[in-house]
Amino acid sequence: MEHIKDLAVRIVEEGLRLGASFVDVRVEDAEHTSISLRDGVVEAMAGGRDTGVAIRVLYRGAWGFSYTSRLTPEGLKATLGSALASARAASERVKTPIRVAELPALEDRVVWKPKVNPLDVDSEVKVSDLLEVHRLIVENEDVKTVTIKYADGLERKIYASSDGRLVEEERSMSWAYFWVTGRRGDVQASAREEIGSVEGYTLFERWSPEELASKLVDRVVKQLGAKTPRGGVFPAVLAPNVVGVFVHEAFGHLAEADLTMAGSAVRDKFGEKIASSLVTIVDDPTIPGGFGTYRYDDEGVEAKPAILIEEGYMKGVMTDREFAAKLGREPTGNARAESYRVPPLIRMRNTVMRPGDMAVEELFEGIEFGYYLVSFRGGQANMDGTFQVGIQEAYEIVNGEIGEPVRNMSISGNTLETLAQVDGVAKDFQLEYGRCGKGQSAFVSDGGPHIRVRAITIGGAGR
Amino acid sequence: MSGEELLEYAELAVKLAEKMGASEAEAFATRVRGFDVSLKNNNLDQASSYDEAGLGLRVIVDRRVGFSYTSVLDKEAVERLAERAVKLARASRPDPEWRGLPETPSSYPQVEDTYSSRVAGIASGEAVELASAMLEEALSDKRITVVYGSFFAGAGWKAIHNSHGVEATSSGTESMAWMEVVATSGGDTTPGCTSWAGSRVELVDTRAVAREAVERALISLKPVRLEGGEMPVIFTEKALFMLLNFSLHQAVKGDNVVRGRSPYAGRLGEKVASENLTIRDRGLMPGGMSTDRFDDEGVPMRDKTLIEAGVLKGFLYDTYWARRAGAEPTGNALRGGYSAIPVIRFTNLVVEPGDASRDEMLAETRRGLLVDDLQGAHSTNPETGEFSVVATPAWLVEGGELRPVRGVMLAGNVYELLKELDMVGREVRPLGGFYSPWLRFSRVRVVSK
Repeated sequence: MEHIKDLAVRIVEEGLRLGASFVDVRVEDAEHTSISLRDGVVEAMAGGRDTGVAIRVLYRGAWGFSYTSRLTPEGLKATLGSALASARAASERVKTPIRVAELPALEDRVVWKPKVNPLDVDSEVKVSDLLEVHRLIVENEDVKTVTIKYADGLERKIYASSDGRLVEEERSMSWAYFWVTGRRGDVQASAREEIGSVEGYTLFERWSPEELASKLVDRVVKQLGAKTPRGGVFPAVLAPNVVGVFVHEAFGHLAEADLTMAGSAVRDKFGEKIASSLVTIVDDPTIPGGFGTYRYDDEGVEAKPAILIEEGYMKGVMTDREFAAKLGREPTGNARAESYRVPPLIRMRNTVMRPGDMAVEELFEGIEFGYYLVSFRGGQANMDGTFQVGIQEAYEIVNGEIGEPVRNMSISGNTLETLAQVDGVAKDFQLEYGRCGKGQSAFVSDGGPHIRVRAITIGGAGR
Repeated sequence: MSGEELLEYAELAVKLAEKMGASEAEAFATRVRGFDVSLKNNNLDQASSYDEAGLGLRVIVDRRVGFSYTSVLDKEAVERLAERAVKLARASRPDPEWRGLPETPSSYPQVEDTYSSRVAGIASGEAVELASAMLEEALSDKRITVVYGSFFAGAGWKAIHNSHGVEATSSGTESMAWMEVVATSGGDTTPGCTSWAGSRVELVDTRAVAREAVERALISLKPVRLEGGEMPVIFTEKALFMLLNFSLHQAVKGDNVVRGRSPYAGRLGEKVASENLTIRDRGLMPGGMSTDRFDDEGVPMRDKTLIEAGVLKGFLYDTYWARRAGAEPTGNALRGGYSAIPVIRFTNLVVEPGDASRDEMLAETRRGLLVDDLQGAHSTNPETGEFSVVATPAWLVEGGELRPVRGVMLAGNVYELLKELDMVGREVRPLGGFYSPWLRFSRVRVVSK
């Protein structure tokens, strides 16, 4: 890697010499394994090593980008030439010249040493562990199908830029996804679970196969005997898993500077009270063990917590170098690229609601009838702040007590109105692991405590 | 690198894997070249160019399947790749159902309108001009903000080779543009409104894409309140795609059928939808966005009927699941690129058009909804079809007029809904490989705050 590091620096210099005002070069070397199991059969054991270089140049206020997997001086020069040619063409038509926040020169090397390097673990061990989860799940006779996906990887990145940044970072990640379907008579149900770690192959130490299997089976079986929800507006208690997807999907995207500036529901809300005083939401890349925990982003910027809402007030947005310059703010280190094949975008990292001081039980007190939303099935939001979150595990709350399970429900509404309705935040906290798609895929974490919302729109699917 | 050169590397990879102990091997190599110009926040964002080739290798050792890929095409890299793939296969478990890679077909079909030197030969300046025209067109109305947009044009080559003698190459081009805009007026901002266009052989009309997105945004300003209840709902091709993508599209996949995950399993020949519904998967449709001579494991592509006048006629298969089902592979094994193993996907999914014009559909809907996109559609339960989604953008249709509504939810069961299809539009527009007219369902549960 030393050799390619020197080459990256030389390409940056060459880009400047050819007239670019800013140049950055990303070198990525990723090794990974992926395994998929369908009903206990290993479909394919896949793995590979993907190495490449991304080159981005700013020329007369326009971005040009190209990439290559030919890691020779000639290969990189040709790629720089393509990026420059594209930037030149774009510079003829750019409307507002693009500027980037330039930063003090810095050299650093960060290695997140995994407890158990996934590359050192025999693939056969991984398969055995996954098959064990499968075996435990299918012990239940209502279970019909089980799909398991597993992926791990070790990624080494080098970033070099014309403002003198030269940083290296090495991280590992492991991830598994389970989808179980069940049937009893005419009733069908399914449940999902996603787990992850940046500590290497420790997934099944942290989530034992027994715990995972019983959680999934329990979820399926409960739905098979569950009632469908009443539609309408009800008070609800949201568990950390649902709070996580809510702060990420319903709120977080609105506070990504590119979407904020394009007119998201929080564009004109800086400094204003937009949520209940109990609500503090932070996109925090420093949470130990998070999928979105790193030291430098894909623009060589130090990753710092972005405080989005503090005690109800809109405080900030997530930025990259370009939007930091546009807004006159510090870049928060939110620029992430899926791979060397694409330029970075503003992406979330670990987006969480900060815990409050109530006991979880207190949240249920005084709710005559409402819902307890434990786990989600998917969520999405629009720029205008409308959101929808599908719920796979939910219960009625009757007179302050958790009641019968409810299936096929979803919540929806306006994000800011819903945040204003938060009237209880518990002191517990849980971090979740998942993926986010915004044209590119990124591994992210989200989470928070249990919270209570006075009024939320409950929708029910099916009949 | 030409298709022939890709094929040479594919042959080398298969030969090496066999030498290292694979009982079967399959190499899939591609090259993609193109320009992508993106728009962001009312500005031309970035011009990218790329030219990438790579090869994916699937190997079988004692019914164990291993897969690996390389983004470098030279002899040494392919050798390392073969070693890695064989090693991975050995670390896997035997699949008792494995019945082999595809056999050599007697012939491959010819396809029309899939390659144009005009699209393949586009220059970066021209791509920038087309993207810029899209931006200018949208911004000619002061109320519009362009959130994102993109214009792409490029060419691709692929080659496939396996141990049973399957050997084929093809090439194709495509150009596409899409845009998301919002409109702001008097303190009201609309939800994001999108438009998409694509073609295999022509550079798409980017100004038309902009005009359509803008028109949708402008008619989304100043929402009215909607009284919920059951009403007819017209789905545009985009909304329909979202509705079906997590339900019907899954239900017709052979793997889901064999595994009992599809509600359509064992129901061939039964009436599952309104007689107004006919859906085909047309791998050979002239100029189709996914049209090709063969799929990504070398099986000839073809046209087949999935639902005809409401009656379930067929499923989509790759070779593995076809053999498990005792059926023929349908040419629907597709990959996201050389670095992925094939999965079952539709090629060009075509909903047969009817005879109602869009204006007629609106005029003949006394009180209902027009929906252009769904939010949260991925939370639909594919096995049961139960859904609960936000319809946005959406409009109340009343007396032939459209008035925007917000925060409206639709709930129900997709498979039940398909029986309520009572009006089929005439105009068909592609959305990726999905070709559908507008469809109207007579009764949908609409929940409004």
